[in-house]
Amino acid sequence: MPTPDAPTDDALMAAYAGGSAAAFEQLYARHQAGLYRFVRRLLGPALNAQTDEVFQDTWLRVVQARARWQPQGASFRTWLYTLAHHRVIDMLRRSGREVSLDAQADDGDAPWEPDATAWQGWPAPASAAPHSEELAFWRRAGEQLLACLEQLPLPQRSAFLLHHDDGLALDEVAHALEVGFETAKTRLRYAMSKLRTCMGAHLAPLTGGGTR
Amino acid sequence: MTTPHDEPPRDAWLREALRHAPDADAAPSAELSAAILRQARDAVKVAARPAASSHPLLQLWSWLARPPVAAGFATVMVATLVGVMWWDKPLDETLPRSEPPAATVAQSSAPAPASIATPLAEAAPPRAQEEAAKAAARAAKEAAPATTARRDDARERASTERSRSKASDESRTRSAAPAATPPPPAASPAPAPANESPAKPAIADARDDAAAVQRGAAAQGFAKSAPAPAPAAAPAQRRQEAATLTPVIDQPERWTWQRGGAEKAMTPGLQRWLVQLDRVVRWQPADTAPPADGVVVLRLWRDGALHATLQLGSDTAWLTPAGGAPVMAPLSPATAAVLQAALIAATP
Repeated sequence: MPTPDAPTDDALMAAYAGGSAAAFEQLYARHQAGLYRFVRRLLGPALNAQTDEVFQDTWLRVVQARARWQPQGASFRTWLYTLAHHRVIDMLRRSGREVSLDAQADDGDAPWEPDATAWQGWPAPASAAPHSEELAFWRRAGEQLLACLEQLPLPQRSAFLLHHDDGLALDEVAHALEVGFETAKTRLRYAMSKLRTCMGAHLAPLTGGGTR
Repeated sequence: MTTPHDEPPRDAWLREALRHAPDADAAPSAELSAAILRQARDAVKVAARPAASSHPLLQLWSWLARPPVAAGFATVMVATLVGVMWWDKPLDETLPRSEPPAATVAQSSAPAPASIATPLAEAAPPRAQEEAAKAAARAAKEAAPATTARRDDARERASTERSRSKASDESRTRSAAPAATPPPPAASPAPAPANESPAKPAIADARDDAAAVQRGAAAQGFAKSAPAPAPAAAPAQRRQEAATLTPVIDQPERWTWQRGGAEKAMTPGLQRWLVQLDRVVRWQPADTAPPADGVVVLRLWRDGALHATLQLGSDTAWLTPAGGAPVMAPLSPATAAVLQAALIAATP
């Protein structure tokens, strides 16, 4: 994250549009890791090999659109993730996958709401220095989460990743996915519900200390 | 906008699981990052290169390449081309000409009498006579070459304009000297006795005609070999006629004149009168015959042979070339009176 004194993304993008290559380097340094992860997780393990291509294509779109870019309505980061989302959809379609942009198409009822006891067997998430057993648990949890993400429809997956991994606020998620706020909220709730179910079903809780 | 209340809380366990996922540390390779950054740098370099060109010609070229500038430049070029193409074209005399505004007439009416009457009047000051003679000689010199090219024709027009303006300047100084005679009213033609002052409005009319007359329609009768042109003469034909005025001025020794009495040798005064007549009248095919009396008749002889007969009436002039079709030119009464008086004075 940029420091308070650092120029904003919008200012850097405007500077790059004015000819400052250094501004682009700063932008790239800020967002390259998060964007790369987002693209990789959205594509899933089957299309991991295309991550570099989609990632590079997204940044080239930024380069090409620098003169037209205006900081209106959405922040640079939101716009960047919108570009990446479009590229991912293109790639999925090119690879022959059916991409449904209607996340509720196969979800009939209201999403499942987890109760508070669902995570009782899990270690506390914000542990500063997890001991080895906890660390092993979270690594397994991470692997399981990636597998569960694979089962989510693309709209729910992207909403969840933008909100939970990249830290976008829900209205930014809506902007990035070019949907309304309520739609984004519903997608997110569905995604979280399914992931909790998936994780609870496949990940055995810790039996020892560190539980909540 | 969302409020914190609308924002669903992030699931801390899911986030923790994401943080520990095997791909949590995935990042683009150094080569990929370098390639992206290089492309980003190249893009701004390419964009900045034309702006940084400091060569004046390149700057001019890029300035000209801007659509508004290019459009304006093209317009100027087209206008210039059309202007050059029309440069030597005579005015189409069949088109109606707009009347000059009254103020213009008033302004030009004061100097105008001198510009025509001064060369004709024997009593004109020496300087004015000299100036008019220069103008006449210049016009004659420029009109002389029968194989006149376009440039000569243009120079002729320019020279005539110069002589006219010089003569009118001269007359303006002359008329300013007495300072007692106010300029005549703009559009009130006075009766035309044969003196200088009442003829001013008429001369203003004559000035209006002078540009067209200067093409030399009067010279139909003076042309050596050219037949009388058709009424709707082509511009080229009119240009040829303009050149045929010159024999009287170029070779005065070959010319004689006769007005009622014996033949007499050509005089500078009569030469100037012919030049001024040429400026004033606009010849057209004669549809009426000259009256038997009330006209001043001038016969022009060349090498002892009758060349043309000029008859000047109270409102019309007739010119009958020997063996050719007569032409006529309507005149205002005042102009005709001034011309008659000047002719009589020039051919004593």
